[in-house]
Amino acid sequence: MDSEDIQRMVLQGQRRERFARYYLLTFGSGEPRRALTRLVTAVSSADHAGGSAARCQCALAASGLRTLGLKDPELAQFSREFRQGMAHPERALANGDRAADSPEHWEFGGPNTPPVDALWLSFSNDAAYLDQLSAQYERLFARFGLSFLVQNVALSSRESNPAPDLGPRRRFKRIPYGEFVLGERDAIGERSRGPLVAIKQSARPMPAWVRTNNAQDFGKNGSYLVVRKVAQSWFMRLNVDLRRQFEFEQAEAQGSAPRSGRLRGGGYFFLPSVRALNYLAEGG
Amino acid sequence: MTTPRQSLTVAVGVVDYAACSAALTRGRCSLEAAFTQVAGLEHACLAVLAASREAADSALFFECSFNGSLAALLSALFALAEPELAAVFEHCAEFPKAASAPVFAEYVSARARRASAPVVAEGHDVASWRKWCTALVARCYWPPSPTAQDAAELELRRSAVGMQDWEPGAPLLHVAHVPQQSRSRVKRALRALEHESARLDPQTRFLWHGDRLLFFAFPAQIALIWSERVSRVALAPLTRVWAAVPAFQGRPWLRQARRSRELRRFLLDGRAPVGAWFNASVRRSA
Repeated sequence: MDSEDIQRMVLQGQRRERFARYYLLTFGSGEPRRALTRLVTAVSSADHAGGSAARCQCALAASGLRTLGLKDPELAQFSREFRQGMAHPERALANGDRAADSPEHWEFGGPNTPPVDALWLSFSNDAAYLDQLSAQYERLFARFGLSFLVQNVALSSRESNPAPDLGPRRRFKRIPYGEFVLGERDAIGERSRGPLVAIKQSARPMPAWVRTNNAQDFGKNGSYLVVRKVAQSWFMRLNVDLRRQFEFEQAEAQGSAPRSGRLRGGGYFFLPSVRALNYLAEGG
Repeated sequence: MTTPRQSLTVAVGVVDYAACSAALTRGRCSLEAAFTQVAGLEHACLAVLAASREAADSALFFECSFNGSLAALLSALFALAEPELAAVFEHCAEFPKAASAPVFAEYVSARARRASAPVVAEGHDVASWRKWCTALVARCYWPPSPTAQDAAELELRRSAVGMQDWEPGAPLLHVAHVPQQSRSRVKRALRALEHESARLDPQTRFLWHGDRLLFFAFPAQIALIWSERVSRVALAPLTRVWAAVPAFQGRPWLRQARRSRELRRFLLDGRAPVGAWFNASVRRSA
């Protein structure tokens, strides 16, 4: 497994960091690609050496991928749930987001709020350093015309730390990597391929066979990220099959006791590999 | 809940798909309200199947399971929802212009079809050697070459049934197109299904309509959970039935878990949306 290419939180979570700051970015009429060019070097990969003061990750929503240059045929290869977004009526029905929890009442990610195109996550053990770093990022976002909503999170609970549960490490079998890393073999030995995005050398449209052979595999070493904020707690789940993991849990919970606290917002994001982020930053 | 004693399955050609579909959409609430008021009705399902490149004709599918007399049921249904039923059925082939309750009952009864179903607890009085022969012949097959599915069409189908995915009790109606040269083998597989215990729900059935092989069920759980269960407990019999369908990619040399997942994908991606439905065992949310 190419751990240099996988974002850190996909494999390891953020177990050592105590403070986090999430930026919900809206691209609007700004220049997201230029901002991404400067941010991509700060993204921590899974083999990031320990001892760094802070770690950062970048996740993109379907609208963000479209703004960064992916066309409809390429976006159609992504998971349907991801493309619809959590505020879609079908997803709201699946997740049991009704009445006070319905997307119309959300603080972010809903139809009445600015769209969330990307999620920039930064983690640190030092609150002062995190503040200093965050000030730099906020200046960068403002410079390139990206609006943002800041969320400060204390990583004290397991729910807010999206580390995949790999199971006990001693004798029992671990969860296969393919369950939360795209492109790896899952529990039944199936390996997903794609979404494939053409690497364009020419402005002319490329035939299908060229696209397959000369394409950036966006799915390789990426993952999907499910984000929901309930009152003061953030719940994050990593799973390559959004339908199987998260919505099953929620659908089954519809008849049981409701979650504590009102749902404040949520979204489906894609955690691209580092190569895919570089591809997007360079504009294909 | 006991298994209903009778079932009615009807599939008729539709002359004007757009008008029939629109009428069904408009009359959905009234039809479902009528279903709840008919005494003895356990399940009911009304759907319009669109034409496709494999099947040139549209069709109207009507299925109900009930206790009591068929004539009484159809008369009661027509009395409760006459305008809506007339608006839907008037676009069907050979439906009389001036429809009354007896005419409607006669029209529907004349087009009742026999659906294949898994064996029930009472069993069939069939010789064992015949059962073995049918099951053995049904297992001998080589899968056809898989065909690439049109992504846009697949997306449309998924969108059409998307909201019904999360309604427990919503009927699952699957449409598969069987090539002409494979029909005899599929029929053998359906006969084998009737001779063995497939561990499917009692209301699960198959029905032929032209080149279409319809599969319908009334799962008590949401479609995603039910399909996962069925793909495990009834993997072999369902694979035998659908093995000849080009869109089905359950290759016999794959490991069981992979075949189970392929069956589940095929089952979920081939569904048709249901216009109006009723399931007495599930209370619908508002």
